[in-house]
Amino acid sequence: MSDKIVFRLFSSCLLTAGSTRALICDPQRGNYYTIPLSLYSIIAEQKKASIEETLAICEDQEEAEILKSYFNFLLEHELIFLCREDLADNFTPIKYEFDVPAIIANAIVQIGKKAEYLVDTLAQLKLLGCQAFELVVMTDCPLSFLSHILELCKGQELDEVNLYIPFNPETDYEALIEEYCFLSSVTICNAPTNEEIFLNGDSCTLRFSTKDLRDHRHCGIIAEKYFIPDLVHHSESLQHNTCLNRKIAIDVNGNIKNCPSLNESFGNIKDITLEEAICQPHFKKYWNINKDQIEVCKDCEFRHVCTDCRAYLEDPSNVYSKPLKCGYDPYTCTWEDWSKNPLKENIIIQYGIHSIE
Amino acid sequence: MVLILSEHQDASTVEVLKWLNHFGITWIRINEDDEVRFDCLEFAGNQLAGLVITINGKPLNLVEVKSYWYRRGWLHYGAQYISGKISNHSLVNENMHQYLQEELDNVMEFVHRYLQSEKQCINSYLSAKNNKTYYHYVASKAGFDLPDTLIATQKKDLERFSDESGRGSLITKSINEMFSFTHDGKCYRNLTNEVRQSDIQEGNKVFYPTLFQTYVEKFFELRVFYILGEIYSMAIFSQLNAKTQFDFRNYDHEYSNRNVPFILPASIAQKVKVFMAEIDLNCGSLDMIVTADGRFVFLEVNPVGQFGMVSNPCNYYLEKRIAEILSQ
Repeated sequence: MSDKIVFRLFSSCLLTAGSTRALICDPQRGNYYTIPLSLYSIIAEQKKASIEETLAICEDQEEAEILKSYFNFLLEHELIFLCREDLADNFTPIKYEFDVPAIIANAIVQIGKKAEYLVDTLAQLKLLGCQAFELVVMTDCPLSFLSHILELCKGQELDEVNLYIPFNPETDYEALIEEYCFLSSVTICNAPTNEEIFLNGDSCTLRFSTKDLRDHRHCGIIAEKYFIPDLVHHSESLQHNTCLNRKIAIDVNGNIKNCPSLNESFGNIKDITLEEAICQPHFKKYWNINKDQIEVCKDCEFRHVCTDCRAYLEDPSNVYSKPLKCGYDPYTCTWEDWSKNPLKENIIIQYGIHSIE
Repeated sequence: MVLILSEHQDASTVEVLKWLNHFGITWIRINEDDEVRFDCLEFAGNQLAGLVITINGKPLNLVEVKSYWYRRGWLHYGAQYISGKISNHSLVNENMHQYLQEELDNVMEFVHRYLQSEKQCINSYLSAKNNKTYYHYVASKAGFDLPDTLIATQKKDLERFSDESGRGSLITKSINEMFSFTHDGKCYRNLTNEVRQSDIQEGNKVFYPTLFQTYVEKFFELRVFYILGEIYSMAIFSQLNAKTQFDFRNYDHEYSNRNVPFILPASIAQKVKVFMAEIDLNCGSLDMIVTADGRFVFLEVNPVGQFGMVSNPCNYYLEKRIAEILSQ
């Protein structure tokens, strides 16, 4: 048996090459690191070489020193490990399969004054396997109405509910969250302050925002704080659109859509079932638009930890256009404020976003 | 219809049920805290015509069950019929109760046997007893590398075992299952611990039967999930930090272990298959250690171990696979 010791990337660390640099994403520890493309190719090749052999190929001493410091970095953060050559091939890459036991995995439901279709809608979503619910109360929300909605959710035994409601000074939100433990987050819009409180042993986030986040025009922002360094997300991202795949939205008027920000309606909940809407030819048209197909994103090292938006685009006539609300340039590796970019000014006005910013 | 015997708290069961729902397969889940009663068994025309139990009062004809998953737990049928007093003599009462209990146990054992032999099944209640000492013996016959092991009651045997050349340090762990309980806010549990020379010197001459094993220096650990001939393995790098050196359940939350998919060498995979066939388990989780010099050392098998901790980091979709097998 060979005694050669080779280096190997932990296959739990996910590599993505951009056009200028690459990313190592480490979901098991919730980190990600940008690395030069030269280092990316050395790790990605999995050539069963020892560190010494790899350093020996360097053209000069200076290059070798730089590469040595890279190896130290990779070892220190436990991104690579050293392994007997004869076992190296047994460390197989992760298969990036993605599936969920659901026809619809997440839903946005806007709720109007009477919440008249809510029970029926939630029941239909449950049957479709839906696991994550975003409930948005579009009208005033006195405590009695809120309790009514939460009782309906409780009756449907929903697991993960994210609630958006307008601020009401008389409601004791913390007591409410304690009572309805299925709530994952509650966002209070038009509140006097911006604040975040973690409740129920951190299983629920209570968020106060001075903005009206119920307005769908706030959605679609691409920013580093929204990055998701996660294996399931990465796997989904390789094949699907990470925002719209298996998503459905029912707006305040009962129109069935892909997302509240997209105009196309596939019918009304008063007239057809959700299943009938999903079966319409164009309903799934965004589901398989992945980051490798999207302009600019396909050259970005962050594309598989990133979110997406197909509603607000740099070029509204191109369904593969870069998200409008992204300020990152993967060719220069710099972030800028997208809303202040003069080239985007007309589009921003066209979408009517300028009036909410 | 799929029948699942599980425990109330088991999260993996819930995940498998989501897949069964998604596939449109009907299922019945029985937990250890459901009240099970025997109802009726009938042989007619030289064959089994009906076998009915009730779950919380609802009848279930087991003949109609197509596939069966014994996840964990048991059929809780203890209180049936025999709560009343039969005689005024306590001795008569005691014996009569014992007799009646054995009558019922006999037919309930048939229920388990029937499910495991007649249905498409994953695991079975009767095979799932964690008989570690016997499993260790079978593993040796299957050709596995094993740590030298001593179950002893006397200090002189332990000293001899410890002194033998090349053994290095020793560990102790339970002969049977892991055991834990909580009292007054404190959790009592037995994990794998090191046995120091001073522990042996200061110990009693005669002691309760206790297991000792040579400490195997690991390059990494393996958790191998076996199901109906399929093998899904995960390497656990816990050696990187000292806190988890003896037992990876001593989690280090600051710097978590590395869990990555691993393919067993063909010769080891073959041993796993031989071993599982020999102990009559068609599903279980095996623990192994891979040493720095490339030896695969078998530690134990858990018939009802957690597999979510293998499925998620390796993206194996084991919950989906189980649901597929049950749907066949």
